Amino acid sequence: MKKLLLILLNITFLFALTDDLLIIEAKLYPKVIMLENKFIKHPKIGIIYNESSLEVAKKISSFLAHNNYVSFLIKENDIKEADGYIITFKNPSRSLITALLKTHKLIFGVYPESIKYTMVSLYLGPRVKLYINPKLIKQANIYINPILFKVGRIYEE
Amino acid sequence: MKNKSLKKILDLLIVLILIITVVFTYLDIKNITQTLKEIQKEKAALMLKNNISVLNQLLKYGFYDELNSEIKHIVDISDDITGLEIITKKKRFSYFEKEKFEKETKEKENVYMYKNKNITFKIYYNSGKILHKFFNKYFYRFWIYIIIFAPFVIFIFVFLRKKINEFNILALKLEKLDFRKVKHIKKIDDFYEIVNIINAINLLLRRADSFYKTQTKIIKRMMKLKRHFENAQRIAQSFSWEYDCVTKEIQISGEFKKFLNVKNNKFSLGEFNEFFPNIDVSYYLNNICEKCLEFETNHILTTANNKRFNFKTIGKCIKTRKSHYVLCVSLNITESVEKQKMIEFLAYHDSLTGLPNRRKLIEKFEFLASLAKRENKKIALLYLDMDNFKMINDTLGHNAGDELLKNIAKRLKESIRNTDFIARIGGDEFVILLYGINSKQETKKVVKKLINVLSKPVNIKNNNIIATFSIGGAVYPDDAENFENLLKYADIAMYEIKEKGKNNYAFINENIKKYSDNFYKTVDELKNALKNNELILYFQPKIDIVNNKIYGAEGLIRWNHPKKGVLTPYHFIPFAEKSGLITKIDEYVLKLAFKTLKKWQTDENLKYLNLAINISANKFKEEDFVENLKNLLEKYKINPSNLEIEITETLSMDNIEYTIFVLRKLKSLGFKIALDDFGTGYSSLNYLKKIPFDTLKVDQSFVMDLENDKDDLVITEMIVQIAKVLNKTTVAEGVENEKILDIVKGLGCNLIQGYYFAKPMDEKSFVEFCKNFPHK
Repeated sequence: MKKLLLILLNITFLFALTDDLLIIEAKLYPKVIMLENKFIKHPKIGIIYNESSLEVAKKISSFLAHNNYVSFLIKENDIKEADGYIITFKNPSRSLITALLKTHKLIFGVYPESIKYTMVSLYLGPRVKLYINPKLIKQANIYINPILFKVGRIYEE
Repeated sequence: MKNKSLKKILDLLIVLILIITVVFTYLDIKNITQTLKEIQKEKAALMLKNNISVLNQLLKYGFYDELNSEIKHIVDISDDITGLEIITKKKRFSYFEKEKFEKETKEKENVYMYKNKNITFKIYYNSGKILHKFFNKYFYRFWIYIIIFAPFVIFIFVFLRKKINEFNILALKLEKLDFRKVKHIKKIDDFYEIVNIINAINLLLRRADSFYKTQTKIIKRMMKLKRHFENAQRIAQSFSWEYDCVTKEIQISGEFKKFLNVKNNKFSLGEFNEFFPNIDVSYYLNNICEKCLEFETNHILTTANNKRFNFKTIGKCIKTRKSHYVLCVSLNITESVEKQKMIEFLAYHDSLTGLPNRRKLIEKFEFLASLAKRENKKIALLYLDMDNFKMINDTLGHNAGDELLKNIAKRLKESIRNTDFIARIGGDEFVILLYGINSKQETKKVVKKLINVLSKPVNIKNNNIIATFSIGGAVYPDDAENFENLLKYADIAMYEIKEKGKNNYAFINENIKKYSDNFYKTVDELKNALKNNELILYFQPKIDIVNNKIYGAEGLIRWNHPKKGVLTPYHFIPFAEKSGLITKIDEYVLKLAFKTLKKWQTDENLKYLNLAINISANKFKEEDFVENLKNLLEKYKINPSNLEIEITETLSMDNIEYTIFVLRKLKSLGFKIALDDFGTGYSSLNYLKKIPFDTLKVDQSFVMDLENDKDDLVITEMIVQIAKVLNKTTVAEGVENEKILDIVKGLGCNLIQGYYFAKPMDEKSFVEFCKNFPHK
């Protein structure tokens, strides 16, 4: 049932990437990073893009900047150190995910349906819902603030 | 609680309020504690529920560090959560805050447990803190309330107790109150209700006082009435008593008790019966009860000290739903009975001598007469009248007379036989009935014996009095067959003796009887004559010889007897005088005279006439004589100066002072007075001067012999001279011829009356005579 729901969500998400979502994500994802690590006051966010998602990456970067967060664009094959990462495209490769998991940093997805490959994504419907992928978080061995389990929805395959 | 008391109730109420408050507070605290614990538990449960999804996720995805951190976080963020424990099959995660985790937390009720499949969540919470906090606030408020309300409650309690106490004080006052002395209770408080009660009590006291006074008055009046009633009972010797028809007991009044001289006032029928020697009270009263009657009876009553009294008892049976009794009043009538006996005795006896009186004499005679008739015997009636008894009374006094009568009565009583009877019928008159006599001779013997006995002297007040008697006798049935006639004959016989010189006896004889019968017959006829107007006036003219005219007339009575014709006074006046009818005749004549004068005075030719009429001594002495004349004068309205009242010289001198008194009254009414038969009496010139008369009538005994008897001439001359000296008119009566007329004329007489001019004539003839008189 949940799977069916997700399929439906995926279809929906395909056509749901809007600036509004990006603006919210730009506001929310840095705070999740700061929540995760209390010592980080000015998180540096790496925006991972590919050729098809550069525009999206730029947009979200500009939105983060607009919120006084530091971000930089990272190509999918050129991972750099950051306090967290935002994947701007769908269906990232297995290798990219593995590499990112080794950084033990939080991985965010721009598209809601990208939660399968990211730790946190955002869905904008009648309500804003935060999705969490605990399996990936566990794989990255990241200490996650339990509050996220309260506010977010758990993604299960 | 035997005596209900508001004070006690108030105390109890306060204790009850305290207990309720404590219990309520205790239950409230307990309830609050329980509720708070429940709240804490719910809070813990809620806390767990809020976080259980997170905890489950963390557990499920193996975030054990995050789980521990979250458990710690949950325990840390809540003051009341002291620990959290998650138990799975393999692992156990827990965190307990030592500072908060106290002993109580471990207790079951301070743990909320939740099981989800194989995972058990236990969340520990601590309610002490919140309770502590709550109770701090609770008791804080409680004390505030206590501080605020306790004085108020205490004040009300003390106040109410004080007021209730005042009621008790009031009650004590009322308890000790002598409402006869205290008329008003002072105010003990200003509160309306208490003032109201005091006012009500004062009103009650006033009413009680008024009631008491009224009652006192009533009681005093009742006591007075009781005393009055008792006194009345004692004085009237009237006693009340009751017989109870149910209990058969008799209760008597105090006065009756005293009268009967007994100690108890209650008696059984048997005991009470002993007081009534001549009636059976038991039978009597039971009969009254049974038929419920009223009764009245006279009886004898004997007291405890054996005194006998005559009593009248009146009783009435009273039957109500509740009672059935006979109420009786016994009246001591001993005195009344004795008086009655005395009255009866006096009715039949003479109080002075104790001898039977006239009434008893009649009864006795009737009895003896019937006996004599049966036995063919005779009864002699002796009428004894003491001679000169009046003189004895006048000289020795009435007491001596009474003594004498008693002595005589005693002697007479002792002198007669047992079969005879003696009675006193008048002052000095005795009657003796001699029963069974055979002849008058036998009676005479008895009479002589009586005279002999009575002639012995009686010593009274050192005077030896010899009483003599005139005795008349008559015999039944020889002389008369009834008592009245028998007594009448004896009386007549006795008068015969009196007239013959007294101190003797006589029996009625035929001559005396004849006279007597005539006397009584004439008297009866005279009585009828008065009724039938048979008595008429004849008029003898009086001629004024000086002026040669008719002066008037002397009215002279005549009896127009239906059988015997016209009778002169000689035939009936002596009988009238003896029988006492004379005054009636005088009255009758006076009326005739007034009527005649009235008639004359309405006639111009006759109104100058004077009419003289004779008045008897008896009539003149009547008390209302003048008054009668006055009434007649008012009735007929005649000129009184034409009426001349003639009284005899003898009468006028009998009681000269009284005569003068009466004549002056007559004169004051306007009547003329004439002294009749002047010269036959013993008039004193001194008295004659005082008597207010107008005319002197020279008695005809002097006038008739004037021509032959020189003495009569001298006497007549003297009389005329006296009249002249006294300036009175003189009338010469009995002028029968011219010679005598000339003599009296010569002597100076004014008026002449006699046969010379005219005899007495009837009115019609007199009027004619007047009209025809030649020298009017």
